[in-house]
Amino acid sequence: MKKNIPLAIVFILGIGFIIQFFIPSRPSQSIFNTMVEWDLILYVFASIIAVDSLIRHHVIKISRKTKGWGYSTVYLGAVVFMVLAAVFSGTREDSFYMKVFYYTLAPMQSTMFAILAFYMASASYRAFRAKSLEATLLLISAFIVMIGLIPQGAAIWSGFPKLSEWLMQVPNMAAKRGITFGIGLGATATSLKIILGIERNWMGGH
Amino acid sequence: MLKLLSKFGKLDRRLVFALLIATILIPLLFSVKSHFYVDAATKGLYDYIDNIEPNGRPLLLSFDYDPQVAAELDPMARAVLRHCFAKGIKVIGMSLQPQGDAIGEGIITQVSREFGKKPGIDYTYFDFRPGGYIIMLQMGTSVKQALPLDYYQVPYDSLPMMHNIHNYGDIAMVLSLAGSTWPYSWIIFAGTKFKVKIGAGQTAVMAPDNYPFLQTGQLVGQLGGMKGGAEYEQLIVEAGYYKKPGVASKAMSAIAYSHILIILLIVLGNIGYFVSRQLEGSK
Repeated sequence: MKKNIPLAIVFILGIGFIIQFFIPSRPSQSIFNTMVEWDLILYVFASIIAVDSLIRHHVIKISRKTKGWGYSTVYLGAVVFMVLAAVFSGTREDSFYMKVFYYTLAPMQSTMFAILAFYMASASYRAFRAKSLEATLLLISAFIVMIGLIPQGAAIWSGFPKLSEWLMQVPNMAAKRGITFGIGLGATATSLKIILGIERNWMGGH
Repeated sequence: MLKLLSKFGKLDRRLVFALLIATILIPLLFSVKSHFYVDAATKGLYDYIDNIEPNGRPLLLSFDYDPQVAAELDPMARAVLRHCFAKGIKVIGMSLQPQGDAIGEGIITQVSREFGKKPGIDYTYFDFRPGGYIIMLQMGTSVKQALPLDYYQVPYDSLPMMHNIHNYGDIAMVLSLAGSTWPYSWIIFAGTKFKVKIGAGQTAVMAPDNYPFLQTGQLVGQLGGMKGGAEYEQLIVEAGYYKKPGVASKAMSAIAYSHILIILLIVLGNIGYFVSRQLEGSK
């Protein structure tokens, strides 16, 4: 029962939505609208489970004093602080909550992302070595793309921006399209396996 | 001499960081002006927005990003909003990211004040609702059902500019600004299913992923990273929609010099690598 009911739900809904997608009739549209509303409710419950799981994870880390447990206390403290700030000051433009968001959280997140630029500069200096034919091709492509993006590149030779654009629109796109096809086919195959009950890992490995 | 050259391959990372700080700060402090080559993706998006009829179907601008990528995407949002407001195109703002909600509201309010535009009449900014792709699907049948209240808790029916907006058929295009794959979801759940035109503004890291969709026309255009923002700023200034280039053009100068530094470092690194190999071979 525990196994067959979820499998039946997935099979019926999976097949049903494939049919619904290709038959845009009024009843089909009505079913679609109802399911979208249900989906929204499920989304909210999934969010609650996610928050619960995250808090549980950090509480366990603190209680067991595992490596880096101090960061977990900071994290949980920040969560409680932000929740209280939202409850007592509201979340409108001039609220204390929004001030914390604008002047603490946003700059911290921006800083984290900005630091990446330094690591990328250092890493590209170390990694881009013409050790083989493939590495040399990658190096030359990177050179052209980088120089084509900046105004100085066009000043050196007007063809650099066009060459850079061509690299992005032809070889890069061919590779991206291949990857996208692969992902699409993989997702379709996995979905079919789930709908037909062949793939059952989502039920906890039964 | 060869020993000196071989050291170029092993520069201390702190020196690399210091040089990078200098090449970013100096152009920012001295406001170096540049002229940009506008690529086809930026031009495609600009042309599409430029052809939207004033006071006709609105543009839906979705702020699908967090503060960490705001430096790259905020200037794009400002440039597009300035273009729309200067041309009299109405704008619907929203966000699929909880943190993007506040960012979007701040930007749309600021730019609307520059042009004397009024909320609910010239633009509407909707309150965040969780759901992501579910919201996209819901908007295909009813925008009112998906976004019942604006950011200031005004009901949908009390917003004059929304009176004739029922679904994607009444929207000129969706422009998703994101540091992740949100534009991809917009293509699947709004573009493919409901045939609305989609545009994207992406971080420089994410932009190359979208070239297949640009070629097929699933994206009408794209702004890629700070350069995309700078190109758009240049286009609206050249067309007379705005008086001077914004933050992206200034920041792009700093990025340009840092690119030159990285190219020089890579050249030096390779010189050091080959000289080291030569020295090891001679031993």
